Amino acid sequence: MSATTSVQELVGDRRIFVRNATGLVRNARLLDVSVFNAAGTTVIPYATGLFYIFTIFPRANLLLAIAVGGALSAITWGCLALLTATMPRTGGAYIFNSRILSPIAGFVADWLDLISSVLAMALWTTWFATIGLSSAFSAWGALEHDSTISSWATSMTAHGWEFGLGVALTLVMFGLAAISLKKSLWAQNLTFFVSVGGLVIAMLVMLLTSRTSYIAHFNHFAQPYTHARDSYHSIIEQAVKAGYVTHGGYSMSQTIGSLFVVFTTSIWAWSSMYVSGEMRGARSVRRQVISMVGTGTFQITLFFLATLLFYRTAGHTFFVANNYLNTVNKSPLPSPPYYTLLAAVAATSPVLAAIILFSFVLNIWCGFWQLVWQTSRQLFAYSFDGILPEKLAEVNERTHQPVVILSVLAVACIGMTAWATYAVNFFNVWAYVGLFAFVMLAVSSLSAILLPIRRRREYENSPARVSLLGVPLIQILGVGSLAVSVLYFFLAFHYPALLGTATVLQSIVAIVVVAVSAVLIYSAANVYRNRRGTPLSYAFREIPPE
Amino acid sequence: MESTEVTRQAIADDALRILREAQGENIPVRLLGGLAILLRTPDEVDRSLLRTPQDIDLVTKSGRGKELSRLLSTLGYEPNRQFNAINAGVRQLFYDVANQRQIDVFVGTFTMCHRLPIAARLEREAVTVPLAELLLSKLQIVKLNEKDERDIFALLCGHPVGDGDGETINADYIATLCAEDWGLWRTCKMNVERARSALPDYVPDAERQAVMADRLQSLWERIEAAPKSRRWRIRARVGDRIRWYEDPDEIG
Repeated sequence: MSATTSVQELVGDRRIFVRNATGLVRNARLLDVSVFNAAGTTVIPYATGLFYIFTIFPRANLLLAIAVGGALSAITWGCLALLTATMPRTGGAYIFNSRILSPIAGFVADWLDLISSVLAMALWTTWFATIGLSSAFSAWGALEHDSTISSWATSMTAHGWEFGLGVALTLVMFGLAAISLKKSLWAQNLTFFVSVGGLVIAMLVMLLTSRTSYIAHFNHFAQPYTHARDSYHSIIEQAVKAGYVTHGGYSMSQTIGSLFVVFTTSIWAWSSMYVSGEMRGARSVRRQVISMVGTGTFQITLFFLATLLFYRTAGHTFFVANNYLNTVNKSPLPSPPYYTLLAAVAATSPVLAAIILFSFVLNIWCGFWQLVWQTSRQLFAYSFDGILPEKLAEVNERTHQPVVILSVLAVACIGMTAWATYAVNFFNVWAYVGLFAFVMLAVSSLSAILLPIRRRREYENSPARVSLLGVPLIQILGVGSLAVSVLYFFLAFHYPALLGTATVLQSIVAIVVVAVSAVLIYSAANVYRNRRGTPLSYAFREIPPE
Repeated sequence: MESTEVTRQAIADDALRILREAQGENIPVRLLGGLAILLRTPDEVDRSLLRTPQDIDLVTKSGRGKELSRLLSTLGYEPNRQFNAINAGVRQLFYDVANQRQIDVFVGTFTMCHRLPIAARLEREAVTVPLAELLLSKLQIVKLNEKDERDIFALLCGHPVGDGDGETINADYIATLCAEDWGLWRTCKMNVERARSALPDYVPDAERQAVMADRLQSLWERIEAAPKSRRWRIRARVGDRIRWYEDPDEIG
């Protein structure tokens, strides 16, 4: 039970194992944190986000972009995995950056990421009605030619439904989070595996369907909406009329530009760094690499194979044309041409089609949960350092959950959902979600570069102390990860269309405004703590205990 | 040797002070771990089997953690705030900075390689949890260290295995828990075998060795004889192919 100071040797032929200190079984298993890292990026962002590329870069080679974007993202995943193994604490990047760089730099960078996550929460809650239920019902109604089901889909896009379902989702999600982390992780895993299972079934349907058969299925399905005998080719013609260029082959510059969207949809496989204080075996480099690099690689491989299969069966031009028409709001189809609809069209069984369509909706749950767990632990860490009131970090003894933080976040989330539902300008801020988070990633990359210099003792004791040609691997990955962040900002500002309705200037101003708000919060906390005789700097002298 | 005794006495005094104060506040608290074993070991047990505990391990009932936490803070122990908040209601850590000691609090259950209902019979004994729980808290460890083995032998040397509690190790209770949980049974089996083979290293005296070997044998027979639950039998079919224990992280 207690600390051992010397290593025990073999006694006779029996191996005596050594435990150095008191044991603790933490809540989150490797499977839980791996699923957590992929929860919000694997299904819905694949359906909705990735094919946004074709509106801006119709000649992008998406497969190449996915492969290169995945390889570049792996540098960031690897960098953060090594940092997390070095300091596996609740608060993740905030802890590394505030202890390695400076308290204020750590807080400002992490505050940007927190705001990014809170904004993203409203996307998920409103998506529940619009992208989730509405698209599933509209596709199901269209496939079954059932106007009642189609009318449900239309109803759900009304503001009242959008807000009401978003609030209901928020209350259930935060309610479960306040009751039990284990139950929340169970729900996360269930919804993840069912929704990814739906994607895998869709891939199998595409694998087992020939191009000729697919065209026949699609024409049969789409005729009532396109009023064309050959709807398949009619879709392509309509896309060309709307501006889609089918000739000229792939463009390298457009492919490079499309890396931005690959990063935006796929780079998030590091979220578990924020909850590493609750992860079993978090000081193991192997486990961190599996949960971040392994999960990210799984997700990229799935995207690559799924895209390949949709190109093969539905045809590259048709697939791109459909997504192009959808993003320019000119699709004649009654439902967005997400992979769910395109695969369900080819599914010969209505049950199979229903599984593909409705399993997709469950991804809303795990995607939203990823933000809930992460942000609650960010606030928890700020509160422990004294930047936010200590009251926030109070944990309910019965449920063992930070109920005050969860309540504050639930209220903020409902406010954001109202904004996203009723205000037309919300989607200006959609672009900021990625930009804010990438500031944190850039700052974390700097921490990785400076760890062996500024925190030599922690680095020497770190399980991540690995060198390549005499240079610490964490520094090599830090430089690479910083380059990925720089590339992201370069692409965002070089191709302003990638920012959606926001402009470059608005984006820069937004980053500055949020950063300044963080500086103000930090300064106010510092003044308050100094007056009470417990300066904030005390908290940053050491890394918080595990 | 004298200084060892002084250290043992000092840590025991500290622990007993906590227990007295807790009793005054009507908080059910008992000792667990090395210190509890030391306090329960009769004088006639070979002193070489005893070790000097470094920390104080406490158990309280589920729902009483907050009160105990308040008491420990009042008594001057420094809480690990972040750890206690994250693990509220299950575990708590406190530090005795002056004496460089750690106070480890288990609330309700004891979850390490296996989960034990450590507080279920908390008030059966005055100072420590019953001997059966003390022994089980050691037998459930997969990565046993030398100090854990020493604790097992100290318990077996000082107490017979039989029915009931008090100064007897309640074999029926251990058998009942093992009959419900195949994983616990498996780890106990492994550690009983380890203990049998390690016995000559710790207890050179042949007569004592024979007594302790008998006690181990008797304990194992009771465990084997207990009727197993259906869940136990189903899990037994899978056997060692799937890991049967948790691997606790090191803290502190």
